[in-house]
Amino acid sequence: MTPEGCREELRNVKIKVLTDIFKANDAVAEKNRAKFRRSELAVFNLIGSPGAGKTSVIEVAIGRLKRNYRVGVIEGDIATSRDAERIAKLGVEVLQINTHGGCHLDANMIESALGKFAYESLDLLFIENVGNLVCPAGYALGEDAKIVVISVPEGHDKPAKYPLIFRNASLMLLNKIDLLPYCNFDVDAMKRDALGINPALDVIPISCTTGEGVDEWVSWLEKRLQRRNERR
Amino acid sequence: MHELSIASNLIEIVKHAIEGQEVSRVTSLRLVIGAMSSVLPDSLAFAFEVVSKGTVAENARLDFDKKPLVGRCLDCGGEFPIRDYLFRCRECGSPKVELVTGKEFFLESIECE
Repeated sequence: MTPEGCREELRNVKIKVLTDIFKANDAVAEKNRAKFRRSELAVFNLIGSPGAGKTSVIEVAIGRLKRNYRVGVIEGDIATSRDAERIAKLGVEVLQINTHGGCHLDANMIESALGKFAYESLDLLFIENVGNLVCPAGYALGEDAKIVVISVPEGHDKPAKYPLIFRNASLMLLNKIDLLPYCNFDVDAMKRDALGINPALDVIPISCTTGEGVDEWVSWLEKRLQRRNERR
Repeated sequence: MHELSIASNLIEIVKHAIEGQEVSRVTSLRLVIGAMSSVLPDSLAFAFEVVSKGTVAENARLDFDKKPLVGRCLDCGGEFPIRDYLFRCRECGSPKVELVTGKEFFLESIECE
């Protein structure tokens, strides 16, 4: 977008502004990104509805990765520290952000969280966004990739109804596939819709209950971590 | 859903834009808004009405210039409207499609007295 400040006065009434409304957030997100790069940290922003299983997919990944990598988590919730307590049990660095009604995390919240968090020594940081498929899609935090988590009971129409997050995500985790026999859920239709919106989207069906798909999820993360190592 | 925080951002951008200019009142704002910006004009207008109370932009009108979703094929170069969020070239079927318009969300200009 055109840089701020290129305003010009036309007569006495109209002022050109041309300022991106998300510009303030994007500028802070870039600062966060630079900090993450300096610390050689891979950062993933997990976005999904309440109850999709965002915390669960983080838990299963930590279980596999914590032997070889230093993992940290920033938990975003409107209220409570319940998710942070779940993650803390796994013995990794965790910080809870409460948005007190705010429907998404923004780059400022991450910036101030980084001041209270020993992120420099980590290899991988998960940021679990506030449960919501709409607003978090528009707010960059400085992450390497957005991961959208959808669960079977939510229904297969989510990509068609909430296209922006599917367009902006790098990976879709289709969670709770152990419930497929009990739900009227068309996996092919969902994949078709999601890939129509974003042909480059990776899709991994997963169940944190049975463990199906966890290998693929963990290798997806490891591939990203290796790419980061190659950049060094 | 986040129209309230966007409305507050808008007020800040407006205040910044009129700094150092002789403006008694902002009468309207022209916003360019893409079909895929996930911002709802009606709720933004409502949020703006609430947030602008007592500021220089109180009672200002919001005008929306809505941009449709238009894609450009990176393989054959064709431009086409994107329907049903299908990011696939309507001519050659390529999935390599970039957005020409539809993701915009910016304040184009303001009118003042």
